[in-house]
Amino acid sequence: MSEVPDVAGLVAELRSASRDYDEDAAETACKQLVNVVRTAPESLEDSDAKAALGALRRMRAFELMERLGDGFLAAGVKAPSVERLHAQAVIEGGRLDAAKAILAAMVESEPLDSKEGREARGLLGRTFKQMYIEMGDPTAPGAKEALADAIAAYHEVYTADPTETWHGINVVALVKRAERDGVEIESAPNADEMAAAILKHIDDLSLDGEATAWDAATASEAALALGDAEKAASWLASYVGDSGVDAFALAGSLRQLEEVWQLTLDGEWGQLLAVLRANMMDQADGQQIQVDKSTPDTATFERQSSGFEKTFGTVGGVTAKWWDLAMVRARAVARIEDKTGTGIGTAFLVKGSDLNPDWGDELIAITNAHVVSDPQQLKAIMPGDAVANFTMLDGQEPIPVVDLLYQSGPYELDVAALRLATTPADVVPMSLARGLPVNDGEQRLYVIGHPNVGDLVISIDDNKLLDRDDRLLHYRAPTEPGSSGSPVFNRQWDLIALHHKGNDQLERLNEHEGERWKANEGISFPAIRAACAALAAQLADGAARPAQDT
Amino acid sequence: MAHITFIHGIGNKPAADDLLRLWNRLLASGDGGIDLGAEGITAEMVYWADVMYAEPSVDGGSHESADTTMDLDEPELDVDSMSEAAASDEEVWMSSLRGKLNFDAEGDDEFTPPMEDIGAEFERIPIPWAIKRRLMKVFLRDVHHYLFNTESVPREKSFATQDEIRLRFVDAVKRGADREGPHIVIAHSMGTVISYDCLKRVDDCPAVDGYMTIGSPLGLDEIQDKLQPGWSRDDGFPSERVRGDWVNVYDRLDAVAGLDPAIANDFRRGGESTVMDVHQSNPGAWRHDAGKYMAGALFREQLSRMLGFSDV
Repeated sequence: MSEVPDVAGLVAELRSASRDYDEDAAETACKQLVNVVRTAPESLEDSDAKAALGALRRMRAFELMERLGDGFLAAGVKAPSVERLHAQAVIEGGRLDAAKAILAAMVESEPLDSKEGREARGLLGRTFKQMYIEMGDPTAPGAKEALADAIAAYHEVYTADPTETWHGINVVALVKRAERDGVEIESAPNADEMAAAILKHIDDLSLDGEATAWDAATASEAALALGDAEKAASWLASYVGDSGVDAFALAGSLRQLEEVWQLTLDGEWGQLLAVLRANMMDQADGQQIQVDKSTPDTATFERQSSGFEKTFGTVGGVTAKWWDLAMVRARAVARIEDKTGTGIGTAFLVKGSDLNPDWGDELIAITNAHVVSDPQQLKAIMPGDAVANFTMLDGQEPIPVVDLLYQSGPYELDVAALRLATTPADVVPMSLARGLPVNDGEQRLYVIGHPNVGDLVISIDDNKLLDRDDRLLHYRAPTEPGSSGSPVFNRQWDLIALHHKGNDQLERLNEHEGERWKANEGISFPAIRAACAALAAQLADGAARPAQDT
Repeated sequence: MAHITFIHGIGNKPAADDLLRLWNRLLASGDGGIDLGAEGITAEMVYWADVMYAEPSVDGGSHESADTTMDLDEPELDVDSMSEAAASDEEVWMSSLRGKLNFDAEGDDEFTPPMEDIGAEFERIPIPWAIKRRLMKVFLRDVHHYLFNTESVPREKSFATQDEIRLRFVDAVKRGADREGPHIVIAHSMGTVISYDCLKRVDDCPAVDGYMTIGSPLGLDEIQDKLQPGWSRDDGFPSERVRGDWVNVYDRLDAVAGLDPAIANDFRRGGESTVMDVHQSNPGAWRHDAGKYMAGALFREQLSRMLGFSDV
């Protein structure tokens, strides 16, 4: 008699992989699960299939989620919830035409009065909405139809059941968007009346103690539609403060405010975005957040804060000011490029005297020796060939590197301290942490850099300190080539390390020496500071400039 | 880097790890927060709620952060029976403290005095009377059990309350003493009585570098009397085991600390007042909350100074 496949065990493995953000383990479990289901489809309960897809959604592994969903559906799984999760993965993967076909078929088969029928119509609305947004031009062929179809899909559900406020608020958002874009939608509902009705319904639920976090998000959007800043902020605070709201949900809310409502950080409602972003960053299961020049400076934030600070100042541990500080740090981060503009790595500014008293108040750029060094280390470029491009600073031309003040080779501290031709204005150097975080398995850290030498991003994905000693830190964060030379921060945005590499086979630290694991590695900034201070002490003793430690 | 030994106050609490995580979070939250883990500062919680209670409270968040009170949802405390069972000196002590705490154990928990009676001389804070009564009962029970080393049987195992809690505190202080950097004890409410007792009166307890008390009832004569031998008004400062400062943060409207909030005059060092009493106004009606103390700017200023972060 053949062994009964342990579906439950595989689903548990998948959940565990999701918790640890271990994509390799998740992929292995998915392959096994698909094999089991192919050979013994009866062994898979609908609830297991749903749990497996849910685990992948949590870790934002949408490609894997789609493949697993394909596998389940090919094996004959018929549960509408599995079809819906599969469609969701297809949408997240950006294959909107495919999603439309899948969901249109679901809408045909699932009646409006069933939960899955309503969900399918909502996702179909989302697909059309995404199509409209991605067209980027309201006059593009098919744009008006996509917007009208999105409104119709959501509105059908809301009309049938006005307690489906998620569908309702999407109608409101899209009708408002159509008004802004000058797109005329035939027999469009009155968005203000709908928003007021939705808000009243959720206020009533709240009075009865029955409003959920999702209701709070919807109410915030309804208040936004009605121009009530105080209410929008208050409801958003309830939403982000709820422990059940994960990064996936926050990302969806952020997308809605940015893409549909077209809010910008430097606009009138920028604080709503700032709070959402800050709270995403405080989640272990966040993601990379791209930042750019449109991100407002501190003064703008302070000006905007007047209407919101009272509400947001007390939300959990993460405030808009916390996000503001992240932006201050991001402004002091540069992409190191060669003179043709090709990106090589990342660098950041520190106050010279924080490393070596002889360097005074000058701002020094820090990067890896394998990015800039002399003699060249690995694939580094020479200092004279390097420029620092502060991509967050409007109007700032790339600044040439004019001197190499200190370097330590890639197998030592992997650091290069560079003097720039000029110092950018309005930049605050990094604040150095007093020490390294405790190694208690609960510390979060954050990396700001130019992964793949592209745009500046803040890496917040599973941003956990795994281990450390006095010289090295190991952490999980989605860094890519080009992140070399990025600053690594503790939760207070104080500098703790210089990122220098990451791979699947990194040798572990402390009592695990000799073992290997998947991690990123940064050089402890206190160790770098101590090395620079030692250099200063040697020079003060009259020694010749020491040979660079390569 | 530094190490902090926390000790909690009266009432039931979430499980030890959860409580420590909660206090760390409260201390790190908001503007000016001190994120101990990020700063490389280790911390341990001296947990003693399980000496009094059968199982941890399940509602992790409400104990320290909600604007109500701690978890008092437990079988009614029969302090009258405690009084009857007590020996005569205990009975006198309890009666005296109960009078100070301003509640009648035989009264109706649902009774709320008319608003016009809620004045400075009768009721110092406008919190629901029933809540205050229950709080005071818990306080009276916990402080009595500790100071009289009463047997507590929360589960199948019984404890000599003071012996057990002293042991836990002293062990935690020993672990902290083994670490590098300054070692600071932060005690809340009843935890201040326990920590003071150990730092002043337990020979085996190692010295610490700094001591912070928040929401402390140490100003009450009845408590000071039971901390003898050891305590005296002129030499009550635990100089033997507190090498640095003792900072006492209180709120006059804190139901527990407010009975006699400033303590420098009661815990002198060689006749000199050296305890630094700091009045901090906590928000809301319920001012005894550890989270509110730890969120306060004055508390954070003093802790930053003791950790060597600032010169305030």
